[in-house]
Amino acid sequence: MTEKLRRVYVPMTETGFYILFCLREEMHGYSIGQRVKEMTDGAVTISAGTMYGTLSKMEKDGLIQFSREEEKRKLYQITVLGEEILSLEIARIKRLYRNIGGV
Amino acid sequence: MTNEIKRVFGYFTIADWEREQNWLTEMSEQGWRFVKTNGFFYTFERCVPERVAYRLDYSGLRRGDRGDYYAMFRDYGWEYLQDINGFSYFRKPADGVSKEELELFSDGESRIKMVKKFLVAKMPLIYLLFIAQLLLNWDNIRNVTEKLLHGESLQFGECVLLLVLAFLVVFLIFITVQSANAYRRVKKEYQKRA
Repeated sequence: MTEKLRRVYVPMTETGFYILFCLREEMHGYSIGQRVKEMTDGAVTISAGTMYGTLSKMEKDGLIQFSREEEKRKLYQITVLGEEILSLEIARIKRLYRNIGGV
Repeated sequence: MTNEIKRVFGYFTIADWEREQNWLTEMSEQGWRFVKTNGFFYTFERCVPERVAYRLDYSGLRRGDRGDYYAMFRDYGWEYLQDINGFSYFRKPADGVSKEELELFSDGESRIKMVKKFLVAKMPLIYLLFIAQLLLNWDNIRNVTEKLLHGESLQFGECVLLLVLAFLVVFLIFITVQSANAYRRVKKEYQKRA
């Protein structure tokens, strides 16, 4: 992993985190948005333009890859590089949580 | 029953997309549904007044690469209307829909990226056209300037040239200031939301 990618993606935006987290399973944009809404009880909304832009950028940076197409929808999945960045980010969030008194 | 149609002139520069969106929404609330535009004239058809959100996006994608782009916006409930000057027009019925779901961008970062994309794509072209105008009329401009310096009176055509150039300069300054303002406004919003 390059230093540049690490700087760009750690720490990550909430939008970016949830998208990458969801893509441990193969999914398309709209279904990610729906999943995130469920997971956060509607607190986090990812709009169409933001979703499209984030997926394109993550694909370009090699964090996720296009897996197949379903009725014109593109399905994506996380890559090995994406997993590495995701686990860095999860470790950072866990440390944060510990330090504010969580278990 | 044939539908009543009207065409309205609407002038919006590239940095004016929010005002354009609001105008289309107001028209639909007054019972005029947007049909299409060629960039200057907007066609509307009579409809029952409705609350509809209109949104413009500048994707920067090539025409052939947009299958999944349109598919995702459709999934999100956006009806794709048309493209003009690189902007895609979408609409969505607004009744019973939350405010967030009527936006194309849920964070400031992606919104500012969109604005940057079309300013970078369009502004150089506008300046280039202006410079081309100057070069094409170079001999005339030099003539006119010399006449002015020597206090000679100008012919009608030369006056027109001068007026056109003055208008272009004013327009150029106007659109530059307007774009800078739009960019600043979106950036401010970004800092607020991020």
